[in-house]
Amino acid sequence: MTRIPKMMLWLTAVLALAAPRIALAQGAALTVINSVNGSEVMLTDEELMALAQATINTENEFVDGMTAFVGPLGRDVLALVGEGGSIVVLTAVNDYAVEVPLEDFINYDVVFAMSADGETFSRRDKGPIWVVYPMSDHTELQDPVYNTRLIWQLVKVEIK
Amino acid sequence: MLVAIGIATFGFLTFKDNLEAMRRASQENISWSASQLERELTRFLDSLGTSRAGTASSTVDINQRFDVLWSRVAVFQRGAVGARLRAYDTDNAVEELFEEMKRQEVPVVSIKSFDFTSMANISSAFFPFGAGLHELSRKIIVGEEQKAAEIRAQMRDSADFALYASILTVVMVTGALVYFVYEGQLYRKLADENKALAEKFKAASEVKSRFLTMMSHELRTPMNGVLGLLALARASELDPEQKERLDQVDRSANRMLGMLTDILDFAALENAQFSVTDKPFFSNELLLALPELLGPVATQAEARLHVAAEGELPVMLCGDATRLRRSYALLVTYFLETAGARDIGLALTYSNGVLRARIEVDYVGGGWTPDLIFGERSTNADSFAAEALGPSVARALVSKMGGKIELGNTEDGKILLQIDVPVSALVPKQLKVQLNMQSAPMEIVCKSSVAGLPVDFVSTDSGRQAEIILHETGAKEETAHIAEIRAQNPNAKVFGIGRPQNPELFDFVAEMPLEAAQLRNRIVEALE
Repeated sequence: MTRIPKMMLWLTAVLALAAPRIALAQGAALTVINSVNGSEVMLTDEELMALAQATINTENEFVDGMTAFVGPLGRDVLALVGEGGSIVVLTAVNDYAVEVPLEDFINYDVVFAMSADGETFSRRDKGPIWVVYPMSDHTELQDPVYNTRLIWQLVKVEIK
Repeated sequence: MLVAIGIATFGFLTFKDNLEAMRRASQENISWSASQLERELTRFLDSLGTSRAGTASSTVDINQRFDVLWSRVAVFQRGAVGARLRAYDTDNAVEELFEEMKRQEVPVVSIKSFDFTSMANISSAFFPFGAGLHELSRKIIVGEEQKAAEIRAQMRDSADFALYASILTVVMVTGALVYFVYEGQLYRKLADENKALAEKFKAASEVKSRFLTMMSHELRTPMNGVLGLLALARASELDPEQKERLDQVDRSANRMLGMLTDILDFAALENAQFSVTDKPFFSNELLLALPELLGPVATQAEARLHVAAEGELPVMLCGDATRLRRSYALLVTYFLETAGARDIGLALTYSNGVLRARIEVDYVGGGWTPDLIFGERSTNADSFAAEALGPSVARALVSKMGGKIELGNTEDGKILLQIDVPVSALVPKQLKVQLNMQSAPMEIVCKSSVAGLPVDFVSTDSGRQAEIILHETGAKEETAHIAEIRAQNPNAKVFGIGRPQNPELFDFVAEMPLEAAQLRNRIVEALE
């Protein structure tokens, strides 16, 4: 479980007063921020799983064969913080971050996967969330550019 | 063509190599994954160190770092990236690290704040792995750089090969085009020369044909004169020796006349304007004409000739009866006069649109063999003997009629010549003929003239329309009478028998004494 620093929580609360408030959960697994309109949402595992779940069957260079990934669609999660922005910064638990064009989430069924082949991700693997692209369905995604966007242990999403 | 296929295959393989190289080049950069493992170990050790120093790191932070380190180790265990990473870990540094992590899992998870002893123990357990992971990272970076260099070199080589192959193909295609243009010009020139030669040959051949026709015609005229005078001489009183000599002269003259006729026919066959004329004819007439035509030749050759129909022939056929008769006559004559046959049988059969003549020759002795004239060799011969002229004409005539001649043997060893000519069978209609005769004898003469034809005689008072009316001329008021007849039979043809005052009243006039063949031919024409 992610532990949000007290200063961050305070700041989030202040921002939430000014922005559309969607959810503010204790023990959040994922923080979603829209820096353009100032919205911010923190979602627990349960809240993420309460969203519409999508399944994509795909291969990539980090799994053995075709794998069924389940989780909410990235665009559904981003919609929680409203419109605006063109770049999405995805940050992992170890502070590794990558910038992804917002179009990726519109053009492809990018999933914030929370399980693979029925097994929930643990932090010691790719958990709680692994950003997965449907590479087997779109050959243009089978490229190192998209491999770097398969970020795991995702804890923060920020739209800029 | 083979070279072009070889170049195409080579180009395809080069392209495939390029694709494979590009695929390999597009693989995940595993150097990053290796360095991440080394980095996370360092960060985990740092978290232990800061905790021991009593600063910000908490046991939560230590556990989180431990989890992240675990996840980095997990990368080595799955997928294509994991397989490639493991290939470099020949010292099992990662595997040993993972074993140590499993051993230290309980101490890490249960670590308490400010338990500096445990932190120091854990740190000491993991610290030695730093050097191994660093060495692994170095090996992976160096190895991947080498692989990338190899891929670049391969892609460069493939591109070079593709370029050379393309240049070679362009050169070859250009060469081929030049060659084809040159060949085309050469063949066009040869074709023009051949055409000129063919036209020249055709012109020469036509000159030859005209010369042959003219000469044989010119020779026939005095020969007929010779034969006429010879006939007069033979009719005079002669002693036996003189008669025998004149008979011999007559035979030779007739033979020469026959050869001149053959030459005329041969020249005519070479003429492009020669054509076969198909007309209806009675099979019986063909059958009767052959003994009449060939009987004297057989008698002179002291040979036996049998002409017959095998099975039932259609009453009326449609073909070139004149050319058929001539072909059979030329062949039989050849066997009698040249091959010295003693017994010849000619049988006609008809089946499935083909009139077949089987000429069976009982031949004994001599050096003559039929394939000299009728076999393969004769058709390819550059020249032939004068006596082969008749068979050559016959063969050409049969060919012009769309038929063929085959040579073989009968079961009892006789020579068998089989002549097949396509001829269609006709079902003759009954021709309605009316006889307007003034005397019974004339009626008998007319009836006998058309004997054998499919004729249905109708009387004047029967009320039936006639198609042919044979009218004896010479009666009074003939013009009015004929007009009345035509009015009663508007579709009939009126043939005048005798010598009418107004021949124009009739479609045809047969003078007396009646020539039966002439009248029959006119009636057969009406049957058509």
